[in-house]
Amino acid sequence: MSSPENLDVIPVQVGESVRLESPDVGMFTGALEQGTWIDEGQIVGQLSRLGRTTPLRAPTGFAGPGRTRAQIASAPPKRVLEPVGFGTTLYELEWVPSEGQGQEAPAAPAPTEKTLVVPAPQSGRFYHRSGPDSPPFLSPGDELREGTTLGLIEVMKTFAHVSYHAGNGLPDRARMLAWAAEDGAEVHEGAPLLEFEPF
Amino acid sequence: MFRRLLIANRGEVAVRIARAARDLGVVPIGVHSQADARASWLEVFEESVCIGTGPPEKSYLRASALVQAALQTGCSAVHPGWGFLAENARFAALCAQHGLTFVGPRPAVMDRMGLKWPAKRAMAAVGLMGIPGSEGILADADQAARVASEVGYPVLLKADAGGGGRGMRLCKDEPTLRTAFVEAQTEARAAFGNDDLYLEAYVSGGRHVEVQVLADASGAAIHLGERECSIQRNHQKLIEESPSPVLSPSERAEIGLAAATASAQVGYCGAGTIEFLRLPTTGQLCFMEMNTRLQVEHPVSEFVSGIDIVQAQLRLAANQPLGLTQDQVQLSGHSIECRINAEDVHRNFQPTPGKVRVFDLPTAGGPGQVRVDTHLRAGDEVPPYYDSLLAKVIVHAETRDLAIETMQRALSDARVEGVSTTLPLHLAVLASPEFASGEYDTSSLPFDPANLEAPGSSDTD
Repeated sequence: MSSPENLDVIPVQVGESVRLESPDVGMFTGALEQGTWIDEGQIVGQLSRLGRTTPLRAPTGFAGPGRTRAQIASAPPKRVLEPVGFGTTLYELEWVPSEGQGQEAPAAPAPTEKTLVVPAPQSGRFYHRSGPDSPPFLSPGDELREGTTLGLIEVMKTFAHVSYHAGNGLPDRARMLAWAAEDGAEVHEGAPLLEFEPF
Repeated sequence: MFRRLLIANRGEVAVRIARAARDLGVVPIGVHSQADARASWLEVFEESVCIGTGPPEKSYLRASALVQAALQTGCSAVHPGWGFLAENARFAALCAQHGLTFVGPRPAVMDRMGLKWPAKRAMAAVGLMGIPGSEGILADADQAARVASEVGYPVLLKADAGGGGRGMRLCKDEPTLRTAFVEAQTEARAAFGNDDLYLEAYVSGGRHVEVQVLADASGAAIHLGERECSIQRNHQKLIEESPSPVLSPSERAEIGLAAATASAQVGYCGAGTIEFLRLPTTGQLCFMEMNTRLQVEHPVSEFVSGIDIVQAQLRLAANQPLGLTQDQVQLSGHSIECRINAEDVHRNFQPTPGKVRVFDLPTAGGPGQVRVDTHLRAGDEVPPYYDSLLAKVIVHAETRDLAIETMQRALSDARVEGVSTTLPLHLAVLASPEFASGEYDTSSLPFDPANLEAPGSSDTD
């Protein structure tokens, strides 16, 4: 349980990975960097609510059965006094082997039944960002809606926006899980570009 | 006027408020629980903040989360809707403390009028007498039993912060009163965050008549006529109409003026409703309570007065003057509202949450006008956590007979599948001679059980 001095984030197991969600409405700040290892009981940021700032803690057992630590896989773009709601994803975590247990982390989370993919509308080169110095259009945890830009596909020097379209089994709103095609990768029509789950 | 408004509610009322906000150029910001996270009605908001899990006390009743949501979305005002925290003075005060305008009366006035007992005292001071009962809040079941024996059974136990029949119990004798006391306390605490109870003599067969008032910060107040809300089941209003079939024009003017005067004298600002019980014996109107918020049945008053009450609330909250005198309020025609709930009329009105597969409430039937206020469309889920209101069908026509005819047509053409609804009950009541003549009261629903179609037939046709 959370003590009055700090608040436990909510671990949610999604297939083979875990995400940490905000336990309340507030401004999230003091976020940890991508790649940081999180241990049980560690403070993973702060939540400011009605002017009071409360440390957020990774609760016991957050990393799932048999594991005590995990590594931050996501680095959402803006993590300084970011407004979050109850249940907003703060971090996507990656498994890391527990020390002494010799456990191997699975390479990449296998797409589970709930994981859906956006297929490439045409063959070409797929980009995550509009230019080499621009931030990616999307990061894991972002919400997808009708018309959300996912990336660019370059076909014969012509760049076309790839947008999310609901229908044909794809939900109206979705949450991005991971890129399925690397930035700059050659893709064939129908190849998966990104993985997401219904929101 | 505000630029961004946080709507601290859900469902039908949230959608209604968002519409009024957009009409005034105010950006509506929503909140939702995880149970509502996929609801289609969230689209009416510019954005919506998740404030917790499904149970109301974990989301829509969390005052601090709602205020924080308003602050971090850049809102300058909060509309509480009805139910939840709408009559919670502490929530209103918390909003004020954080620089947010609460769309409703000032916390002190709300405290006085929203709680039933102080309201009774304030109204008595301006000549509106109440029903005999307890002098203020009951300390415990023992005191309740003492008061009840003085005023005589049956008595009605009521939640001080209540509304909508929750926290209310009819008690025939002392043993029922003692059991009901604990139940009503629990229910009131869950619904309103306040378990204070009071009691009054139970009047059987009176009529529930309420007056809609609007008051501004300068002390000007007007009324928009009355609503007749006597078609009830277990104290839950089912059908409301305006004007009331039993009030004479002079009674209407008199009670309206009294209500507006009382509101002005207590320093009320915004939209409010003063509820009266019309005694079956003498026809006297006894003050029951003041609701310091928007009412579910406000559209019937909007239809007969032509005034958008939610827009008026927002204007008044933004300190704008009423801009209307009583003489300028023209009440015309007759309006009726039917509340369509997700309840099974054949299974003791059990709520039926689930997925709404077909949801078609046509408005083009005539002969009068039809308005449908709803947050739902086909494919939406009705979650199990909240009230069962699916939609309100409101009609307006020149005469009461034409209004009834319009409503009958609108409801006959309505098709809702996936959840059970109270549509058959409404049609049965509308077809009753009692309703047609206007001779009905709060004690029983006028309808011929034979007019309720057989169980299951709605699934097969």
